[in-house]
Amino acid sequence: MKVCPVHATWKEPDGIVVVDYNWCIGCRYCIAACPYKGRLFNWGEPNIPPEELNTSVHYLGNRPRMKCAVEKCTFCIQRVRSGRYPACVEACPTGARKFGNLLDPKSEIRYIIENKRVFRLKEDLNTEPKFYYFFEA
Amino acid sequence: MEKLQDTLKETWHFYRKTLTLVARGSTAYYAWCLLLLAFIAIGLFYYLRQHDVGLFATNMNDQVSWGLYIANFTYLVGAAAAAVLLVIPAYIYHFKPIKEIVILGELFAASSVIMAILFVMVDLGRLDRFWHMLPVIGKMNFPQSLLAWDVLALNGYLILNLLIPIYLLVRFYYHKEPNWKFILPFILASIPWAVAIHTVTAFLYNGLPARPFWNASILAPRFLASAFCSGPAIIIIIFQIIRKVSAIKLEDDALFKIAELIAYAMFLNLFLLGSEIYKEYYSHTVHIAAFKYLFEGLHGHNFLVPWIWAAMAMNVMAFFIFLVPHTRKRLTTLNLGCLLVIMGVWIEKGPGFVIPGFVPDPLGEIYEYLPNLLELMVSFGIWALGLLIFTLLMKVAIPIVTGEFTHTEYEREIIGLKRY
Repeated sequence: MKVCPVHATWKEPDGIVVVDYNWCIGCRYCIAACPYKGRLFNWGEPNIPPEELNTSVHYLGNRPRMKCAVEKCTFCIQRVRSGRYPACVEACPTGARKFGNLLDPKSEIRYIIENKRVFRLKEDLNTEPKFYYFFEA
Repeated sequence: MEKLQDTLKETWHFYRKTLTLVARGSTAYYAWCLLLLAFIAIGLFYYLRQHDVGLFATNMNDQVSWGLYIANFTYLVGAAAAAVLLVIPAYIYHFKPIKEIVILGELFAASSVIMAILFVMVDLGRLDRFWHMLPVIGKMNFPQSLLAWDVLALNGYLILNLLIPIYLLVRFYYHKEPNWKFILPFILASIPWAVAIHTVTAFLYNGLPARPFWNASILAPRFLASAFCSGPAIIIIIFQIIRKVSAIKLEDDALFKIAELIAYAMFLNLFLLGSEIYKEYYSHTVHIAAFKYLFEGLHGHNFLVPWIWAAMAMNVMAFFIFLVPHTRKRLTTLNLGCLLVIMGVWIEKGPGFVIPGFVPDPLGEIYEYLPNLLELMVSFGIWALGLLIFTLLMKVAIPIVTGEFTHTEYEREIIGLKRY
């Protein structure tokens, strides 16, 4: 986030890192800086047929992206802000994906972190990722 | 009132004369300018296509997200910083042969910075939003983002390297001694500023722990050492061309002095590179992957291997050419050495530096990047534009330095008119 020369990306108070697609200048410095390859670039003009457009959109989320600007996963900000799960969590047929409030001690996600084997990627980089991988011992 | 009129007349005379100087030249001059203009036109044509289609038109992708443009940018910042190698001997040690040519060196730096900035501009996905980066009207992320630092450093350096030579040229034009009290602080500032532009550019890469290939403390010194090789090498070649096609006199001593500095810089460059190679290969952590990709090839991917070894060979050969006084002080071997340095450092500090930062990518994917025709043509266009700017600057600056283009001519005209 701090590498962005124009303040086009930041962490929301609820912890989701977002990109302002209308403000990004497309320098791709954040792509170079991301250790998780979490950011992608729209190399051309995105084209979604009008009939496939989702009309329930969020400015920082699932609206049609900009040509030549950076984008990233928004954890379906338009869904999670209204109390629903991100689409991938809801769609996953095996329940391999979990999503929740890390600050809530009674949440499912806290239960998993405390009771399963968990790890995070590249912890030595001190980025404190909130993305945990869990597995059964 | 009359004074104002005189000033206006003089200004008009200056602009008219400048235009004549720029517009008139030998056949070779016309051919050269036309050639550059042709390259600029082709580059612009390809750039417009890129602007239309998006960066999709290039060979860059999510794995290798910076390519030939940023490679050229890195190299040119180094070339620009190198003017300081002329500024120090000229203004601090008053080494006369270099003092006579230092203005040309500063204008070369200015042209290089313009090219470097252009390379960043063409790499931007959204050139229309460039103003977001400006302070006040946009939201510049200073001092957090190193890219913001680089914008300030490069533009500051550009202003310094236009202000100093233009001020001095105007004074020469009026046959007046420059007011050193006014200009010396700017000259002194340009010395650390030159170091700063390349340091900031190195830090831009250096500060990213996501890319172990760049995340080495030795990077900034390495950048400076290689810059002090390639920049002066370009200057030596350019000065010999200028000496041939214009009335300006350049002593061989100045060239040999610069060549000697290249020898020291190249020693440092090779030493620092060697230190880095030792550390990576002996400690042999997972971070070695990018080095292996560059020097040996990784899992059968080896686009860059012949390039980097060619660069290594060129740099080592050039080092010995510049080290031995006998070869350094003969123009044929000197020029050979310069060409080797220019190409060797371009490979090492350009594609050989930028691309392995992205290969393998943070997830371990390997994508081999080669620039496509569009990227090549846009790059040639920018180089041509920089050379054209430099040529035109020289066309005006040299006659002022040699005293052919001065205020006195105009004065003679005035006196003649009054008599009449």
